[in-house]
Amino acid sequence: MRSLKLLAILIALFIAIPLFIVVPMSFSANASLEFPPSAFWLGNYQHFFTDINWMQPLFNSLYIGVATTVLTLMLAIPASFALVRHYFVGRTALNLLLMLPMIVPQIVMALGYYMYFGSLGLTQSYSGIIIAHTCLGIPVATLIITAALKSFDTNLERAASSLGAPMLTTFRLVTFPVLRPAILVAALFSFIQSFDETVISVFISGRDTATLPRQMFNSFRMEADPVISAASSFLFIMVLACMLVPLAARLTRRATRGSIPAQAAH
Amino acid sequence: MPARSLTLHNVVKRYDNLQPAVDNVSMQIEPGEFVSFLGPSGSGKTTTLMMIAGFQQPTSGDIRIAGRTIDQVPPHARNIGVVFQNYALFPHMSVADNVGFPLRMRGVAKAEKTRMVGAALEMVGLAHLAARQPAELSGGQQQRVALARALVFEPDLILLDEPLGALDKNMREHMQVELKRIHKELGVTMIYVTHDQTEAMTMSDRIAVFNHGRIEQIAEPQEMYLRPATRFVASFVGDNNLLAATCMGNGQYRVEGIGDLQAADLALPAGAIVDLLLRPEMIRVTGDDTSNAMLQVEAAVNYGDSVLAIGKLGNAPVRVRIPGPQARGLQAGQRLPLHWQANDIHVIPSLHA
Repeated sequence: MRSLKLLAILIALFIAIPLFIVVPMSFSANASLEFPPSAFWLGNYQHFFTDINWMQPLFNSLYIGVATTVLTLMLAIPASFALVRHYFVGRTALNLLLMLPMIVPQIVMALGYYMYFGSLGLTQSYSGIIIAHTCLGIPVATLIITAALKSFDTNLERAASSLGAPMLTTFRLVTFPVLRPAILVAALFSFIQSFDETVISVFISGRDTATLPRQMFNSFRMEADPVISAASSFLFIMVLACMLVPLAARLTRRATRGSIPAQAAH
Repeated sequence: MPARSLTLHNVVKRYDNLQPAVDNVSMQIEPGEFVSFLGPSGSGKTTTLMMIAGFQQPTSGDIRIAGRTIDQVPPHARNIGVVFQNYALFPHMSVADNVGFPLRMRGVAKAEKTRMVGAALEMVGLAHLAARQPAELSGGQQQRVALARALVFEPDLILLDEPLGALDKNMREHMQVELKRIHKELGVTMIYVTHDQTEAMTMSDRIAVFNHGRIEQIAEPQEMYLRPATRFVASFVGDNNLLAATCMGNGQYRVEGIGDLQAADLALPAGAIVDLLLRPEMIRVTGDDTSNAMLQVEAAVNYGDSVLAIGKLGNAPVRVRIPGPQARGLQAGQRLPLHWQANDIHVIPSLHA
């Protein structure tokens, strides 16, 4: 039992080690990427937050991430309802098609987008990356929402309608609120997916629409600028925050809910 | 609460070209009646209920509430309260918000809404739990909230789809009494779907027995128990002995392997094929020579208050319920002299005759 625990800790450490290198390195005073850092310095962060060559990609990433999330939900929610609630010819094929971007290697997708979007004039544009990232986000979002819909009790909708709620009101007051946690998780995953994505961005985003990961990749390839470690740390903190906020929200909600029976007992 | 009548006229539900799920069902339910739909699963009772609620459309036929056809009325405009087996409370709303939901849909003013929600929760004995979330309640409490929610808006009908099926035995018996009390207090028309014949017997004004999408019989519980119309009803409602027989005329019925039995029921032409129903508790064990037949006991099941003797009369399996004190020492292998009156036997004409 004890040795198993030790093994688990070692594995966790091994997974986390890159962070232990990158985060301290971002505070390093060295002129190039070196580990361990020689002295503590905030210059990399100052550089990161003041250089338009870093801030533009950061803005691009946030903008593309939000737009991707909205578009993904607009497609994944109706698709999930169709897949779970209706039987139609080609349902299995559609399901497989929606999952494809998860199965096909990203470099293959990227090449495809590069050729296809090139002929459509969508390379180097925001719309191009947003569409590509939406394709990548749909499989996971659809998986999450269909799973929630499958366990959704349709008697809730029947009850609402018997109590006087027309169809749209039922969706607004019952179906959507019950599915909301799953939709939020799906939104989170599509945002992170887009915010993290590198390969496709490298292929199809131009100089003006470069995302943060693309800029990091370029910077690393050209000059090994230590600012990249500050950018990496920042990217990591952003993603971590995205994951932790809902967790914290759930914990506080559980804490408040737990206190209700206690109050009633008085 | 206003009570409404419900009329089903030749209602059919067909999903494909196979046997219809509901096959030409007609019935008239009076205002304020408590009617149970009783039958095995797949007998069409729940489908019929779903068509009344408007969740499914009849293939043909007519459903009327208080004489008004509702076929074209969507479920949300039918003003029917529905209680589901799995409660179907909205998990993201408090008890009060759940019960208040139908009033919110009807635009009832806030003060009036609060009063009506309070009264409905009072009726089911849960006024003190109004602020709770459904997940914090027991199954029995959740079902009472569902009931309060289904009656708070003074519906024309209340439909209950096996509402006690998910509860344990004690809670179920308790809720049966509660439901009857509420029905009596409100006087609302209630339709209760169940596969539990005891539940149907104890609660209903009338019972409709469903089988293969058809109604085999609609009758008051006592009538249904004493004079079932078909072999299926006799076997589904209550414990029973059914003996296949041929009518010989003059109230004599010939049972293979036993002989001729006298029954007071029905004057049928000689040669008619019938089933004779003899309830296990109608049969008495006699000491003297007035016995009608001898039962070879194969097993004796002790229930404490009574013993069920299981054996054979001729070729037919027969069960006899003997009160506890008389059954002491009863064992398999014994022979019991049985006695019954001619009018204890109910004659069911066979459909195939």
